[in-house]
This record gives sequence, structure tokens and C-alpha cells, in this order.
Amino acid sequence: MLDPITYIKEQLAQREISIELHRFKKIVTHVGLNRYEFQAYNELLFLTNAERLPIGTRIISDTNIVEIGPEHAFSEGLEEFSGLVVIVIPAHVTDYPVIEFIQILI
Amino acid sequence: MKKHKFQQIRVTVNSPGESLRLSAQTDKQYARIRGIYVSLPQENLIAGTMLGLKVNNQEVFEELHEVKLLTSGNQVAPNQKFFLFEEHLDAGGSSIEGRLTDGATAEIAAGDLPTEGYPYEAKIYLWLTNEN
Amino acid sequence: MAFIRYNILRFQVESSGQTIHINHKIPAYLKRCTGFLVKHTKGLRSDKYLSEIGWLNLQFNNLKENAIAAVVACPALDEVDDKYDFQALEITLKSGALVSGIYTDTTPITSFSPYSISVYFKCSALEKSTINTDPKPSVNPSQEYADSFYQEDKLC
Repeated sequence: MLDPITYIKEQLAQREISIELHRFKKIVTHVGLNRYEFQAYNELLFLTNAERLPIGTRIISDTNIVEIGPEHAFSEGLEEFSGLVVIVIPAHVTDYPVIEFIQILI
Repeated sequence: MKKHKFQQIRVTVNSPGESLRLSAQTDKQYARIRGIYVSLPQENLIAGTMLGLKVNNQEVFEELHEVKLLTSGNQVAPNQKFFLFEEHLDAGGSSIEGRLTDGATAEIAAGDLPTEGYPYEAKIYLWLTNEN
Repeated sequence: MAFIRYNILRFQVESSGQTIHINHKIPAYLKRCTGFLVKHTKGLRSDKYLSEIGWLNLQFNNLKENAIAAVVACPALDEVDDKYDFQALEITLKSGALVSGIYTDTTPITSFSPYSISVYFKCSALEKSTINTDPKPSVNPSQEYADSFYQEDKLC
């Protein structure tokens, strides 16, 4: 099974990116708000719980855009985001998720 | 050493005439902001739209600065689209703050604000460089 | 000896709002990328100039260098005087490395039809800049930008 921290460290070493800090970041979503926006300039965010997000959730950043689909339930891959990050939760959801990232300050 | 980067800043405008604050941070790996280019998704949104800009709390453009002066149409080659800053503007993780004001105004005859084309995303491109 | 090559990344956009994930290899004999140009090439014709049909973000050298962010426009059907010249870059290419990134369509769904985008990378097969391939720092307004593309192309 993939260990996210090991994977991230190895990949950033390959990319010659030195890590100033890595930590967890959570975005708690709630009823009445479907759009969440936050900044990740000079940062990398790795999504760690894609399999638990509602299908149709969109994460839009300057470097990557992902729409959660059924395939994410079976994937261990870590999606990476940077810049301005916008999360849009589908309107029909009843369980609002906590969206978890590993945040890398570079 | 990395020499050039084009960094994007996205700003969502939800309604006609809206004025909103923007903030961002430049890439730490580049020393200088060489130029700026603003892109709106439709040409008819450009008239009257204004952009104020501060870099590290120093005013670069007043809030009344027209986007029309910072953008260009298809008659301008891509490498000529950028408004170039004459003086040295620090990049290197600088804070970018500003205010974008949508140019829509109510037509006197109709009395209504336009609704077509909203919401939209304005894009500000900064040309970052490590060259002097 | 020929030293300038135009490497082309081309992709097709099939649906409104589509995001295309890009993984493209620039041939290993190309050592430097000195410019880029993003063009709508076919499909999606409109009577008026569309200042944005999508945007692009690209990282060079196996995700080491996030250098390009650009918006893509679409000329009007009868527009013949659109200008083009390469936006300056200066990237030392690692041999056989990937160019990765995304293109996302932002064309309004009402006016969408499938189209193609080409990203031209102006590259040099020389390690160092012994011959200046960069865009001119100052341009005579009367100069036709398109000429510079073809003049350099003749060197190939």
C-alpha cells in the first residue's frame, strides 16, 4: 500500500524541490456553501482522501483540475494542486465532506 | 537558473459592476516582475473595467487604472501583449494585492445592468524573470 | 547547420469544460526552449473574436519548472490580420524530459464545438546560446511579426 509521505518525499526529491515544511491541511465543508476558495501559492497540496469525496466534486487549481469520479474510489494516486485552489461540491450532496491534503511549503 | 515564468492569478467576478479584492503571492524562485497582461473572457467586458494593484503594499496601479491599457486583442503578437514595468518590481514571493472593478454600468435607457457573461473569471498574468 | 526546431504539441478539445491532462516529450536532441506560442488551429469558428476559449498551464523538465500559464483565444472567421510571434522563454531542457500540465476549456457551452490547439515550442539543438534565438528586445512597429517566424524557419 502506498505511503503518501514517502511517495511525496521521493517525488519532490526527484523534482529537486526542497521541503520547508510538510503538514496536514483540512477543508471542512458544510451545508449552505458549495464553493470554497483558498490560496496555495509557493505550496503544493496533495489530496489524500479522494476516495471519500462525493462524485462530481471539482478541485480547480492553477496547475491541476480534477473532478472526482467513480474511479477515485479504487485509486491510490495522489492528485497535486498549487496556486489558487477552488473546491466545488455538487449541489445534491447530503453528507458534506472534510477534504484532506498534505500541504508542502516550498 | 530559471529565467522566465508566466504566473496566473484568477479572479471570479460574479455580478455586473462588482468590485472585489484580490490577493496572491509571486513564485519565490523568480526575482522580478517584468510585466503584466490581463485577460477577460469576452471583449465587451473590457470597457470600464479597472484594476488596482499593489506589490508588497506599494501601489503600482491606482484602483481607477483601466484594464483596457493592460490587455490587447488578436492584432497584437503574444510577445507584445504584456505591459512592461519600467522599474524593478520585486517578485521572490512578493504579496500581490489589488482590486478588480467590473466595468458594467446600467444603461440609462434600459436602467438594467447586463447579465450575460456572468459570472466570469478574469485572469491576470505576471511575467516573472530572473533577468535584470 | 540547422539549430532551430519547432516542436509541436497538438490536442483536440471534444467537449465544453473539458480538462486535458498533457504529458508530452520534447525530443532529446533539443537542448533549449527559447519561446512558445499557443494557437487555436481548427474547429470552433465564430463570427467574432473570442478572447478566451481556454487556458493552459505547463511544467517543464519532469515537473521541475512551472513556466507557462497562458490564455488561448480564437480569431473571428474572417480575421486575417492576427499577429503571432513567440513569447520568450529560456529553459534548458533535460534530455527526453516530460512537459506536463493541463488545458481547460472555458468556451461558453452555447458556442462550443470541437477544436484543436497547437502549442509551438521554439527550441534550439545547441546547448548554449551561441546564436541569438531570443525575440528582439525592441521591435519596430512597422515590422511584421510573422516574418520573424518564417525567417528563422528558413534556417532549419
